[in-house]
Amino acid sequence: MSDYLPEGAVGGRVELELPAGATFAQLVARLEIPESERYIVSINDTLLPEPLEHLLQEGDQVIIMAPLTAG
Amino acid sequence: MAWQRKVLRINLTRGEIYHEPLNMEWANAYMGSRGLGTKYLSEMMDPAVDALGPDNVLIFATGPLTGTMSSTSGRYSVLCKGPLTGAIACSNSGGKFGAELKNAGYDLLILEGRAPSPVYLSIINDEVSLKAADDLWGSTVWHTEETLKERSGDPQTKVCSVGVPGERGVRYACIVNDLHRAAGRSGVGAVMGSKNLKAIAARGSVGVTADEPQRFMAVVKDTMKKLADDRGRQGMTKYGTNAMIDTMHAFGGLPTRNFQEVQFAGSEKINPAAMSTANENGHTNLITNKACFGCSIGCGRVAHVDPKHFSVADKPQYWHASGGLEYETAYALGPVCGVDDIDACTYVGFLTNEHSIDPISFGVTVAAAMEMFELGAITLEDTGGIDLRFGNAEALVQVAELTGAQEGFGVDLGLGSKLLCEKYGHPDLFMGVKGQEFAGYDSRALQGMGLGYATSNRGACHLKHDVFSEDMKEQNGQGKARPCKDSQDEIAAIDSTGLCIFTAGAWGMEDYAAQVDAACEGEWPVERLRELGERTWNLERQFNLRAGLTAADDTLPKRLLETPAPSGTAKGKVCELDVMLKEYYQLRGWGADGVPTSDTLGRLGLSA
Repeated sequence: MSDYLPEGAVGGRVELELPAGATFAQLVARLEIPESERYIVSINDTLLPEPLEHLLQEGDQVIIMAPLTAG
Repeated sequence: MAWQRKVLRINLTRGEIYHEPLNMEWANAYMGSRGLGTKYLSEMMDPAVDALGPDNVLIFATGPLTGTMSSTSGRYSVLCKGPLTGAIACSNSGGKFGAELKNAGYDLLILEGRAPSPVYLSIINDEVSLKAADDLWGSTVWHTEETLKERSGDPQTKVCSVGVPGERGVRYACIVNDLHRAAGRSGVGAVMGSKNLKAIAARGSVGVTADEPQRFMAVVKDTMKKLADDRGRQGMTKYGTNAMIDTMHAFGGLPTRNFQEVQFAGSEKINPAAMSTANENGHTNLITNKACFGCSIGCGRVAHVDPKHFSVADKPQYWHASGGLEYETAYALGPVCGVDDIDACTYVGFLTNEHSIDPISFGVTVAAAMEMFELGAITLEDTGGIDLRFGNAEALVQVAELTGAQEGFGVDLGLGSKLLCEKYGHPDLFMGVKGQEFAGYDSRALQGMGLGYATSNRGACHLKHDVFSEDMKEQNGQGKARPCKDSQDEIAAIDSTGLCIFTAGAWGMEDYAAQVDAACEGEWPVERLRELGERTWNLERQFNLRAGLTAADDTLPKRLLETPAPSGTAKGKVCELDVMLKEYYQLRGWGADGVPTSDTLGRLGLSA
């Protein structure tokens, strides 16, 4: 998923400012992650199987991970 | 077609070589590779025999699609009773050796008995001979492969072999082909060594044909495009399997310090980004990627160690490019040992290939030794003065060299984690199932993985099931048994085709069925593949029951069942195996004792 990180990201992490009341879907749009992309989301170490409508709060740690496959 | 319809059978005790027709009734019921090899193994040996004795049978099995133009058609399986587990061993490898064996005209190579002195097997189409290998005994894989290629006079000769650990019965010795691809798990290399068989050199020019060539080519074109377009495949090509280390760290399922923790901050130093970033000496670990025979993924990595690194500074023979870190190697030499030194991990990865040892079992065994060292159960006197603390890269390098040479404390490490933990009085610190060490996924974070580990017929294994998508939804025991059972059956079928399961993210069962159907005689719909997969799974189970295993062996270490995950998305959770296992047995059509019922056996055409 690091392909979608904006400039300024270090070690796979970046701090972003979003408008108040922003949802996870707005974060996806900001990062230009296409709808066809598959990923897993955790927010503050809680898995969110259906994250798109989730309201983000100030200070949330959002992790967007590639799907798991055997390696 | 697709099958060569020929089996090469060798009695090593008597030095006799037989060319026999393939049993097509069995081929129609089990297809090839894993399934067909399991059928032959079950018919040819008593599963109760000593795995390192002459009565164990060693089978190299290709699938009907091995050596064809299908993408990833370089796979073959090695089957026997596994010395690490006492259960059936079925270890799968890529590279080019399997396709070469198939092109020499054979579906299966079966080895029985024990040669009276070291030999290697030379196969050039139907010219087959056993040759003295006294001069190669004690050699590394790399030396053996180079020597036999030179001796054959044909640079296209493909070689598989074992190093000293295979010769000395290290329970997790593997068989390495093409320098750095391996039939890695369950100790199949120790069985090869126990037969005084150092190597097999194969060269084939018979070719492999399809039943309906035009239709087969059209199907292959379609499936290759599907694979090319798949985002998962694209990531695998670009980053290799080691991309998983970032995901597992973030998820909190990355086994760290012998499974005491589930996240490893040092993963950033050994991940794909670290592999492709120049260090302070201007050295970049990763050189390029590499594909096996016929593969359009190319997940393999080619890397080199910084010549200034302590591990190789005085060893220029290791400054060349070789097999780089893949996820399981990175996990087992890195986080689970608490090591974050990319050059040390890469060098030790080289050593595991050079000496034919499974890096997963080796790394997890070292991790258990490290925990016992920190507890004081293993002392400096035991290790020969090596300070075997978690995170000590120098110690990791030292014990890898000793294990490869089977000297000093490396002899103890060659026991594998289970026996090592028992020897030093801490059996609960063994992290595995049925004697085989875990791959790089913690069952508290990935609950379905825990069920797959517990029920895998070859001991703890991450490659015989795929419950990843369900494991991402809820971290409990609900709803995991069905996808675990179904994916076990499907993967048994995929393994039996001769293709690589890394295609499974892009292809559905209909894509495998279409390729088999065009390549083989007869009708091969999806349901036939699923049924032969289930038949294979149950036949493997029957082998294990006859070997003396029971339902009590379908379990996990206390650490995963009783000690909650300390961090990550599964913080506070344990693996709910009991919930999943009961449902799993019911779905399998097995009794509460884990034994297939007569109805189940009858439905699958198996006998009690």
